[in-house]
Amino acid sequence: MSNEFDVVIVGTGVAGALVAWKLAEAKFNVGMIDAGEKHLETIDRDEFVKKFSEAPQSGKSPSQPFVDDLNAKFAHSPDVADFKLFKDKKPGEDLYFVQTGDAPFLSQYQRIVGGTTWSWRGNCPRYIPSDFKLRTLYGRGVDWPIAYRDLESYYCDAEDALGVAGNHDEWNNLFQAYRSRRFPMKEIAQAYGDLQLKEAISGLSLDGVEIEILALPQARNSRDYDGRRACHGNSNCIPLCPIQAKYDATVHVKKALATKNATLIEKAVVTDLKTDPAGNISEVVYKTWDGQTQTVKGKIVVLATNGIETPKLLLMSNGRNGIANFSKKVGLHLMDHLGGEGNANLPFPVFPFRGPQSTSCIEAFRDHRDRDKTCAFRLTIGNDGWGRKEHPFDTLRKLLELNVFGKELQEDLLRTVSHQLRIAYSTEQLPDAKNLVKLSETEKDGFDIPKPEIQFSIDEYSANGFAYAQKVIRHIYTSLGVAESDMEFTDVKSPDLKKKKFSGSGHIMGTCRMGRSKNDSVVDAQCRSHDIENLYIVGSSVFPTGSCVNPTITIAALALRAAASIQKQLAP
Amino acid sequence: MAQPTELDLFVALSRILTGEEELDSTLANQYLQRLKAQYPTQMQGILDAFAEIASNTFPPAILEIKQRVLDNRDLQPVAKQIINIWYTAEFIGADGKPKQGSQAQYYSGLLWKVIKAHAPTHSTEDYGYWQTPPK
Repeated sequence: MSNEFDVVIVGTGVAGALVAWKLAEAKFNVGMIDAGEKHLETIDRDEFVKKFSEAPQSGKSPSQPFVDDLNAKFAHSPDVADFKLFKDKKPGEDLYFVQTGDAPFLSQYQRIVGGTTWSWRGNCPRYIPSDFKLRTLYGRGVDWPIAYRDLESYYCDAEDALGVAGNHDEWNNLFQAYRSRRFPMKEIAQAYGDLQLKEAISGLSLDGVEIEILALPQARNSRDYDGRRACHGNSNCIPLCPIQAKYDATVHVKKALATKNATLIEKAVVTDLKTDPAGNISEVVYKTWDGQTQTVKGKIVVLATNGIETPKLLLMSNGRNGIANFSKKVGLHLMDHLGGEGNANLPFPVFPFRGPQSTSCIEAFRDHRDRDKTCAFRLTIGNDGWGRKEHPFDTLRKLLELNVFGKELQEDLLRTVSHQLRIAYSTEQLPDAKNLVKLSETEKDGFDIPKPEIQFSIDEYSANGFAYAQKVIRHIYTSLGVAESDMEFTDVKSPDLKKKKFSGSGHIMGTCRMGRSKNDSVVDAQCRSHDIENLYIVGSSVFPTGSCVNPTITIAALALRAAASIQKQLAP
Repeated sequence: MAQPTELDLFVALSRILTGEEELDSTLANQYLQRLKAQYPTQMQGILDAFAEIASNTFPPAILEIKQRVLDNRDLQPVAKQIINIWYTAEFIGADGKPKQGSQAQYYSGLLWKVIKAHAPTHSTEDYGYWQTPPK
C-alpha cells in the first residue's frame, strides 16, 4: 500500500465518511484511518445484535454491543461507566474520561469504523436561522460565520445522502427555516400513542405558544431506500438497528471504497500530526493495535474524530506542544445538549415499545422571546415507556415485590406499562471557555497516550431552560388530567447548579470552533484551519454554538460543504 | 397416572406463577437447568412443596399457591426468580449478579408478549405496524 494520498481523513464517522465518499467519487486518492475496527458485513451486525441481546438489561448501554477486550484497550469507546468525576473513581476503576470539573460530562461515543452513528437515535432536525445568530439576536454566545442560507442546499444534499424521512409541509419555514427540496422519503409513521397525544392536546398553548406535535425527521427508512430496507419497528434504534433501516456511516465508508479510489486503514490510532517548515501537515503518524508505528501523507488532512478526540490529537501533536492552536481555543467551549424528562401515567394507553424509539416531537420552543436568559429547547415524545427512569423489567420487579403473580401480574404489568409516557427535553448550552477538553497530565490509555481531561459545568442559562421545559411538559400532562402524583420529573429543584440533575445526549460540540478571526476560532467558515492551510476539521467540534437539536444532519451538511472546498483546493 | 417429572412440576408451577398457559417445554428445561445451577436447594424445595400441593388438588388453587409459596419466606425468593426468568430470560444469581439468557431466550421473554410488544431487535411485523393499537 502506498502511503501517499491526496486526502487523508482521520475518523470514519458520518463527517469523515461523507468527505471520503465525495472526494473518492471525484476521483481523488483518499486514505481513511480509523482507531477502531471495520465491521461492514451483515454477519458483523448480526454478531452485535446477539451481543446486545445476551447482555443483562442493566448492562445494555449505547457502546455495549461494540466493545470487546481489544478495542477497550486500544480504542476505548466511552460509555456510562466513564460518566463520573475523577474524585469519585473507585480503587482499581479505569476511567477513560478524567473529569475534574464541577459537573460530570455525560456523553459517550464509539470508536469503530462508522463511528457513533452505529448507536445514534437517527433524529435529523435542521438548525433554524436564529441558531446561527445567538449573539446578534440575544446577546449570548457567539454568531456563526455562516448563515442558514449558506448551508441550506447542503442540508438538502445531506438529507438525500443519509436518507431522511420527514414531513416537508410541517417543517418548511419552521422558524423561517425554509426548505428548497422535499425530504427524500415521507415521514416515519407516527406511533399510535403519539397520535392519541396529538389529538388530546390539540389547540393547547402556553405563554401564547401553540404546543404542536410534529413528525420527527429521522434518518430511518420509511420505504426501501439506497439498498436498505424500510424500518420494521425493532424498537432498538439506540444502540443498534438490526437491519440498517437506520442510517449509519458505514454506508458511505462502503461507497467510498466501492469507487476504488479510497483505502481504509482500521485499528490505527493517530498519535501525531507532523508539520513541515512551511507549517503544513507533512505526516500523519499512527499506531496500529499490534504495536507498529506507521505514517501516511496527504496533500490535505481532514480531522473527523469527534469533539473530544479531535482537540486531543491537535493538543498532542508537535511533541505535546499542539498545532493549529494560535487562537488557544482548541479544546475550549465544550458543549452538549443537556436533557431531562417528565414521566407520567397517562389516563389512556399508548402501548410503548412498538416501533422506533421516538417518532414525534415538539419544536415550539426552538426560539422564544426570553432566549437571552433562558435557553431554547425541544421536546421528544418517547415511545419507550419511562425511558431512563423505569424500564419494564423494573416495573416487573416492583410488582413482584408486592407478591403479585399469575394472571394478576399480567394484567397489572400491561395496565402499568401501556400507560407510561415520557417526554424528554433537550436544551441549548452556551459556549463557555471553562468547559473544556485537554490532555491529562497523569492518566494514559493502552497506547500510552494521554487520556482526555474534561472540565464541565452548567450555568443559569441552562438551568432556566430545564425549568421552562419542565413547565411545558407539566402543562401538557395537567391538560390531560394527569394528577401531580402521577408525574415525575428529572430533579432540578436544588438552587445549587452543581446539584441539578441532567443527562447528556452524545452531542459533543464546540471544541474546535468555527469563526471569522484566527484570534478566537480554530477553523474558518469552510472548516479549514486558520493556521494550517492543508488541515480541515469536520464534525460537531467546529460548532460555535450548539442549538438544542441533534447535530448530525448539520454535521453532514457542513461536511459536504467542506468536501466541496477541499475539492476546489485540490483542483482549482 | 405416571409420577410427574421434575420438568412437569416446573412447567405446571411456572404456568401458575406466570399466568401463562402455553409454555414451551424446551425453554422450560433450559430455564429449569439454569435455575438449578444457581439455586439447587431452593429449587428442590419449591418443586417438592409444589408436588405436595398438587398431589392434593390439580391444578392447585391460586390462593393455595399464594399462601404456601409466595407468602412462604423460604420459597418466595426463588418463586420470583422463576417468574423473572420466564418474563425476561434473566434472573439474579446466587452471587447477587444478573444472569442473562441466550438471544433466543431474550426474544422469548413473556414480558414483551404481555405488554403487546416484542423484545428489542425482534420485530416480526412490517413497516408502520406501530401506528395502530395492538390487538
